[in-house]
Amino acid sequence: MQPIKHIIVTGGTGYIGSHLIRRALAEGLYVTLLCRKAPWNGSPDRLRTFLWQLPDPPPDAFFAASDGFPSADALIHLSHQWDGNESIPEDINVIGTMALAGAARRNEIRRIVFGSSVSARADALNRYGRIKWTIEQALATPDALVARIGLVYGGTPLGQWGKIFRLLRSLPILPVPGAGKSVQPIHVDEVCDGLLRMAAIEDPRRAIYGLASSVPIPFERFLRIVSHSIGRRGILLVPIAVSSVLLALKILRVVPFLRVIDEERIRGIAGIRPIETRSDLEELGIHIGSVTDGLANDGLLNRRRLVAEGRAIGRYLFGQRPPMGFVKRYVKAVCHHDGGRPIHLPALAMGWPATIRFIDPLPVRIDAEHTDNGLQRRLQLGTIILEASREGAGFIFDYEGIGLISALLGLLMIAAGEAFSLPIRLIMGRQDRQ
Amino acid sequence: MNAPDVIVIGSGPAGVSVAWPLVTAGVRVLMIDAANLPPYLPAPDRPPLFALHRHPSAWTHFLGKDLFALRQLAGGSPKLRTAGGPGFGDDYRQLNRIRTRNFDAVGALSEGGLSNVWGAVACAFRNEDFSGYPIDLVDLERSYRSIAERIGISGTEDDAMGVFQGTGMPLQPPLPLSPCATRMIAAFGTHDESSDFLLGRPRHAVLSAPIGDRQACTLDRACMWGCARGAIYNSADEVSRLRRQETFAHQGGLLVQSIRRRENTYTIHAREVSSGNEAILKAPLVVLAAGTLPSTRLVLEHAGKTDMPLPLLTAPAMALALWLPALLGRALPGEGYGLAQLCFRKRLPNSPPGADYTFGLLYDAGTMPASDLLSRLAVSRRGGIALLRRLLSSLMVGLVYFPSTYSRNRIWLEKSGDIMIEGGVSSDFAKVMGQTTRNLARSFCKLGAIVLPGSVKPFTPGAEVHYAGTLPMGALTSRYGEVEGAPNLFVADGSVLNALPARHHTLTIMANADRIGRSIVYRLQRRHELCS
Repeated sequence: MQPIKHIIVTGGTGYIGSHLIRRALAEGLYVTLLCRKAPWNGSPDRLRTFLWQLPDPPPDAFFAASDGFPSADALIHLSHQWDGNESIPEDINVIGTMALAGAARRNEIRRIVFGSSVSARADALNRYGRIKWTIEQALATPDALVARIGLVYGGTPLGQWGKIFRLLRSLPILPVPGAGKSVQPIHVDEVCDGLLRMAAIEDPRRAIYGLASSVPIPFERFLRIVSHSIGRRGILLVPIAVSSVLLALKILRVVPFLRVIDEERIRGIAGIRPIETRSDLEELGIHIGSVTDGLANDGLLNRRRLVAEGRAIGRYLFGQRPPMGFVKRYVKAVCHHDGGRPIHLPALAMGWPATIRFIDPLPVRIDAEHTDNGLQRRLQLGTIILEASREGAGFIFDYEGIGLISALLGLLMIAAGEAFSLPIRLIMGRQDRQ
Repeated sequence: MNAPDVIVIGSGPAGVSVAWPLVTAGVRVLMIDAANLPPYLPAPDRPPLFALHRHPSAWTHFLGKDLFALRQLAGGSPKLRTAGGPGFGDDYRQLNRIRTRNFDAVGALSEGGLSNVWGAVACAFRNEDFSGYPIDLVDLERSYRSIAERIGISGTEDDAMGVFQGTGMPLQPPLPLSPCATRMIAAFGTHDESSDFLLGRPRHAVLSAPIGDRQACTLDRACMWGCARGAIYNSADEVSRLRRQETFAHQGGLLVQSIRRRENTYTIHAREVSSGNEAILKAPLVVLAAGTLPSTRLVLEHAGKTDMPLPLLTAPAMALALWLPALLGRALPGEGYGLAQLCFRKRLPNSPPGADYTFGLLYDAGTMPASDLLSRLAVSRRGGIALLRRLLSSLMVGLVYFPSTYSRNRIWLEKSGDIMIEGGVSSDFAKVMGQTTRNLARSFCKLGAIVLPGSVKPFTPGAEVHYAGTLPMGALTSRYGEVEGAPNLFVADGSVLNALPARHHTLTIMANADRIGRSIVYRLQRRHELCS
């Protein structure tokens, strides 16, 4: 692969774009971001921002080498303006993209990568799909490659993934239009992989690459997997006909301010038809993992789970809300020294951390190399951090002396409490071992 | 250094103790070690423990930058975790190519080695402890005294354990005892030596009066998290002093892979730990002081002896919790020290001399990381935290060591070049441990201390970090530690000890290394005389 040094990105403030930029910078690339308003706090080295929007003609300065930036090798065009009612050929996205492509070619950019969608078809039910299709056709030249991106999930909850994530997290019941439709999920990190490879690949064998899972799954199943991973196993997903939803939305359109879900999106789901992507992915050398694995390895989701875990463990150990700094250090410690994956705590323990006492494992041999019990290790970690905090040390280390009577009474109460929980702990421990 | 007379491998207590007599006699010494980390020191302005427990940002002092004190969540000594600094002890097994079964191989590739985190108990052997040795106490007396003067040992000869730990040694005054220890000593009263159970103050390589750059202990009770004052002996300090000598040079970061001999020169093949580059060093005489496990590996490798198991001696150990009800509800002391407050000796019936006693140490539980105490208790963490608040000021932690006659570990070199260690104890050890526990419980009970039921836990072999006896003097090495069949290749660390009594052996290793150093000086001087 020809090494690329500098990419131009549009749509860099969006869901996929923001991940792409982070990834590109991490890999040592220079990035020029074209966007409507400057988004980044502080400017990392190797990132420069120009204000621009479709359909402004992009000046040559965007592509030129300057200020330590080499000349741009590739343009990855992800931005899309959603609102619009014109006829397709006059849509701002079509016109703007062609202008962008023209400018890029004039400045001898090696490669243009256009972010399209699996819904791109001449007869797509949604306008979005028809626009993408039109742009694809217009861009057909050897230096422009099209990425038909599937259903993206994972990472920071923005864009469509953000909507799905928030709905699944907050609603007990979710009506699902197009429940049976086959979607082709792909993790946002995998999309970034694909886009960067498309920007760099020499001698591409095709003009259109499908960045989507080659094994479609029903939409409802996708939602179920995601909700499981977020810890919402009990959510009720109710399949509902697309036509019903569209009708409902038409009716609701009368009511101002009540636009929860875009009709476009619903039409998009309705019109989904899976595409063949196996050979595309092979040529790019990417493997797309299952949604379950993708979410299990998802850094952001893991972090959220670890924060929740830290809060629960902290609450249990301190007997009250842990002090500021405990959860942060707990998460850091788990990531640096204990694998970085959340352990599975039962829902009761998460909701009512005092009950962790009943599953607090009994100690193993004094110097077992590494106890296999994840909860044991996390409790140990939490205790070390507790002890290092002023509040926690205050619980344990008494430099004033509480007196004999008070101590005796305390011991009796503790003994009673422990006697009560010990049998339960033994039973739970045995269950664990089975 | 271009042409050293002697290369010493290892900068721990043994290496330093063999180097001093050499350097003092003008011998050119190059000391190498595999230290891949700079020595770690806690902040010099770290407040004492009681203040740390109230400090709003105690996190950094207790956990370290990057939370290094949180690695190795389970393990023998908490001090390895808390006092060693970032990365301390990690990679030890991997870099030394040590594989184990039922054995905890502990060590550190750090300047000063394990003396960075040791408990600093410094007692001498007595005559009976030398059973099985080709040398006697009389051979080491001079060396014991010279070491004690050099490093500073505090303690007393005036209590029941005074004679047991060695007589005639220059001693600094002992450090003050904690309330729990004071009470137990008072209850013990006076006993004579024939008594079955003796209790007294341990000798520590800890200064109660300054020596050179090292300051005296300020009684901040935070020993478990490292000593910034240099009061606790750390051989890294001696390496610094040695560096000021003209005929001494030190090169760190070199991990020795093999030792070869051609004619009268030894070639040491080493690898730079940081870069992986090869390094070659030559000298006519080499002293191995890298610690029992690595030194054994290098000798076996040199002799080409693969798949030949050697016995590896350890001192099987156990821990227990001791409660003094009379002190229940008292405040924790604001001042004191965190190393062993008391030591005791308990006779073992029907055992040969030198192996006829167990040796134990008692620590104030309030100076140990509470998390380690809690991980041993059968109560829930929440209950345990509440429990410790009430109990800590009247709680002591005991470590009891048994003689190596009960250990059954084996070590051998595999054809791949890896070292394999299989740990074990004698078949009667469990019984002896049980009996000893019961006897000790009775002795403690008379002093008003109760062994908490369920608190007695044996250590995995090796976790107590007393390793010795793989290349015993008079057998695989001469009585001066010279390897049989490899003239001018010496071993001066624990490998050459013939037996391990229950008492701590570090001071004896140092004294023996000093003796070996002197004998090398004598040999070099004679050689010089003969040549000229």
